[in-house]
Amino acid sequence: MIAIHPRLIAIKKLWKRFPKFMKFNSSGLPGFRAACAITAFLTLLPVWAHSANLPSTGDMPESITVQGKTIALKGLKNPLRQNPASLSKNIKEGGEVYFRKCFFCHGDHLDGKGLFGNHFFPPPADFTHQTSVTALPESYSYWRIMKGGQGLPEKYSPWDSAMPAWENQLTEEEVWKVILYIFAKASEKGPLAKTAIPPEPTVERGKEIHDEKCSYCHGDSGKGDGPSAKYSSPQPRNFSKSHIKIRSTPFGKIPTDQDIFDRITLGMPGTTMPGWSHLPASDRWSLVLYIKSLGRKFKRFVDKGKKHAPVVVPELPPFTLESLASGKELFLQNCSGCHGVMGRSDGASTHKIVDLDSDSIWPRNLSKPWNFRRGNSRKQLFMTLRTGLSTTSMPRFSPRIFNDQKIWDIVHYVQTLSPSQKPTVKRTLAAKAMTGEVPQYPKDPAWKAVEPYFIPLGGQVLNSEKSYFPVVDNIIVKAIHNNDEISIYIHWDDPTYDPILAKTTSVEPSPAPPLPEHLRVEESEKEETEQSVEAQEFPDAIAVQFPNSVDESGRKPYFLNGDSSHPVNLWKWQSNPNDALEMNATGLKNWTPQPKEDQLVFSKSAYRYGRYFLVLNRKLKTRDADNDIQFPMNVKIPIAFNVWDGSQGEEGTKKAISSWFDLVLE
Amino acid sequence: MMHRLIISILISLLVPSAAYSGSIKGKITYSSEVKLPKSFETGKYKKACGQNVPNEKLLVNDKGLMNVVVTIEGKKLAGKPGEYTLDQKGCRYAPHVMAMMKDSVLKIHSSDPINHNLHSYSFDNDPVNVMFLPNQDDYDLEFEEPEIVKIECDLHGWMSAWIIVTDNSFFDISGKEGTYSIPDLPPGKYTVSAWHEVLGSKSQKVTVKDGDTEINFDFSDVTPQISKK
Ligand code: HEC
Ligand code: HEC
Ligand code: HEC
Repeated sequence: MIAIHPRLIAIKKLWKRFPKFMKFNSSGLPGFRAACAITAFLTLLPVWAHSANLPSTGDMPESITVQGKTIALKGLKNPLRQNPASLSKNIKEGGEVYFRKCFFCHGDHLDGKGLFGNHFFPPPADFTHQTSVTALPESYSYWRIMKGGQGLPEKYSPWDSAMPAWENQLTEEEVWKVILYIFAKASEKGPLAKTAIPPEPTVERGKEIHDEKCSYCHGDSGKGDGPSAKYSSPQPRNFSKSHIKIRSTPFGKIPTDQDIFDRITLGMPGTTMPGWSHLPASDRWSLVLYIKSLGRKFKRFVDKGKKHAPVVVPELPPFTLESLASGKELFLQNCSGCHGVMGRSDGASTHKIVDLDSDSIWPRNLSKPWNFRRGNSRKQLFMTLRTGLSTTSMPRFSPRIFNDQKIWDIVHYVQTLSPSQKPTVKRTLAAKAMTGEVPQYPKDPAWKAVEPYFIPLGGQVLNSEKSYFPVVDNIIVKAIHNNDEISIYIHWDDPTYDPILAKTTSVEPSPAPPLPEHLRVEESEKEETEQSVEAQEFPDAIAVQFPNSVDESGRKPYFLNGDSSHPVNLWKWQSNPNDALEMNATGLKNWTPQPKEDQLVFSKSAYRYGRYFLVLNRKLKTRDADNDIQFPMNVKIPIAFNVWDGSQGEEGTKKAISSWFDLVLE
Repeated sequence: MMHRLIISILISLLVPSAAYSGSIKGKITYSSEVKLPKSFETGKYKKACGQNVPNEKLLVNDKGLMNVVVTIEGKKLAGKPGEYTLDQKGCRYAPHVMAMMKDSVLKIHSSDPINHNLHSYSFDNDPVNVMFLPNQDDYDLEFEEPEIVKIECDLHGWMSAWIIVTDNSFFDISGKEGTYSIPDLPPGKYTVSAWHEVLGSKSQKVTVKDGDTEINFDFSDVTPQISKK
């Protein structure tokens, strides 16, 4: 049955994106599902068999229990298919479920590249190619959706999968609907199949595509109120206002057609808005026409005979150190009030600007340019500064204020605020051995020599209460040991700090932009702290998670705080009281602090310019080997992280989470 | 006085039907007991802005309500756009409330020694978000459509101003005592509206004949919507 076919070569490329357990086995033969799909594709025969490499119908239990009801999986059919008349309505409703619950991970395009897509390991499944779940009976998807990653048989590492179990969150009917949606749309990535592309772009065609592909977010009439809007920050654009953020025209002016076209094509990185480059260009132009028809300003613009005055980016000047120095000064003077001294969104004025309910989001963190909507190249930054971002507090810096050279100076400086490339994610964190005391303070120069690891975080969207748009989307971790103690250094960007911390540790928020000498107010520290001693309602916090004990066979506790038979050991630091607690947990909600006498983790924290710094340290071995992780040498020790931004209302299960990584003490 | 006379002669020449014109006058009152909002502390900007900046969201003087914009709606009303100025001084917009007819130009100036950004919230008029550095050139802002426009400085959260862009040049803003007066109205039927930034708006229908017509507004039944920001 397994035959090598030329199609495999193409499929092998796609395969790389699959979770490890879905990849080819060591003998180089394709997994069964690939073969099945191809066979099915070639012969159109139904497929029923078993594979050891990727979950398939053979791994399905005979029956599952959902909400107290036993459901036999074999031969189970999607009941909604019996009613062809309401099929398209059911698909649409399945789409609404998808855009409330699944798009964060599986992505708008069903390709596994949602906003959190590359933050979890294994990555969310890609439904768009031939070997996806759509090649299997729908009962398979039903099982996977109801029981999630944790329902997988042991050999597929169920503890690693972020796929939620939906049995208590969706009704059976909703699950069948979302399956209809996935099966209908996974194969239909490109142009709309229903009608032929018209010879010229038209508003009607634009509306048709919008209703089909964009309305889940932008709403049926483009008002930005689709089913996903509640789960998205920034919220989808309301097209009736005629404004888009990224344009070539000055702040507040309507965009050119090309501007809208480019945004549809490229999307808005760092948001749920994907790029649509796979749609035929003619369809994207139809969308431009439709979007323009929704806002009355476009028509008025034409009626009044107005002309666009787009900003033109001049030739790149040479990069010089003088330019950089001037840029720094200009940045502190003109940008730090919002973006903060180091560009980490903690400017003195940000509390005035940010109001997520009215969709005023944080000033962009300039140290994470991969989230820039337009981009971080010099020309793109020039354009951003000259035009501003309409509908936001980000102003435009016109020639009235700064000549071209000054803008370039700022651009040069902004580029120094971030690493030149997005850090790659390494799954194994090495903790090297050192002699002498391990560093205990974040400021210790010893940390400079330790390799940093970039750990992406996603929102905890598996179980309620969920965190749909956590502020903290990654942390940086370093670890070192001296054969007696281990020290773990972590930093993460949080534009707000818990004011009460100022009492117990060093806190340095971004100051207001520098004033001329005679206008400066000497910080009368006393006055300041007296005013601001009130703690946040919820503390800021971070937890480092290990299994209670390392299992030689590689079995791990469930990545989301373990389960009843596989507990985890957590070191949780929080801002109030400023301390680290050792805890144990057997699930998202079952956390128990250890007794006082067993608290052996020490913490030192600091906050500076929009960034928390923390060092946790503990002896490698403790006397409580049942509840404390004991650190062996040269063994992969699972490690994961949870972060809470208390000022955003994150507490309890509302938090940002990471998958398991491996820590190896060398 | 002479000037005024010439204008009214001109008007009577231009608008022959309104040989004798009426006016609308009145008082805006607010008599509920409220705690008037406290002035803003400028903290780090003490020396640049002054220790306090007055909070002008609700100004009541012996029951007279200040900064209410009274506008008149009527078919034949026209007028002339003008040129106005807005200053940013002591980290406050001066004046705090303005009204002007559409197609007017607002010259925006900054007298302050520190940066401000001027961010306008409007829809029919293209919003702006421009920077003012110390000693910056003035910025001319043109309003094309009638609309209520809010202006804020994102850098200094307490700074806000309102610009009411009208369809015609028959409007007034109530002064300290809460009184207003709109002269030179041709007789006819109109709707008079009074708008206040935290008390909302009220309107009345009126028939203007020659001479003064008194129209008063009382906002005492309204709870002020003062946001903390
Ligand atoms: C927090 C991220 C996340 C969310 C939200 C999520 N998934 Fe998943 N899903 C995953 C990951 C990761 C996998 C791959 C690992 C696995 O198979 O368990 C996956 C796998 C699947 C699979 C199995 C694919 C296969 O080939 O076996 C199906 C079906 C699926 N998801 C459907 C859904 C549906 C439907 C929703 C919404 C109701 C949803 N998922 C929401 C992360 C997520
Ligand atoms: C999963 C949700 C989602 C889908 C589907 C989606 N969008 Fe968006 N879109 C957004 C969000 C969120 C924003 C706002 C991003 C921001 O403000 O940074 C946005 C913004 C936009 C903008 C404005 C860009 C700017 O610079 O302000 C345009 C234009 C747009 N979308 C077009 C489309 C079109 C056309 C489609 C369908 C082909 C589509 N979107 C599908 C979520 C979505
Ligand atoms: C009054 C506050 C404010 C000031 C001053 C300000 N910004 Fe911003 N900036 C913002 C906000 C808010 C955003 C995010 C807006 C959004 O996407 O909704 C932003 C976004 C950005 C972005 C991201 C653009 C993209 O492609 O996503 C860059 C780069 C940026 N600002 C640079 C600057 C620089 C450089 C300066 C000074 C010359 C500056 N900003 C001044 C508030 C400000």
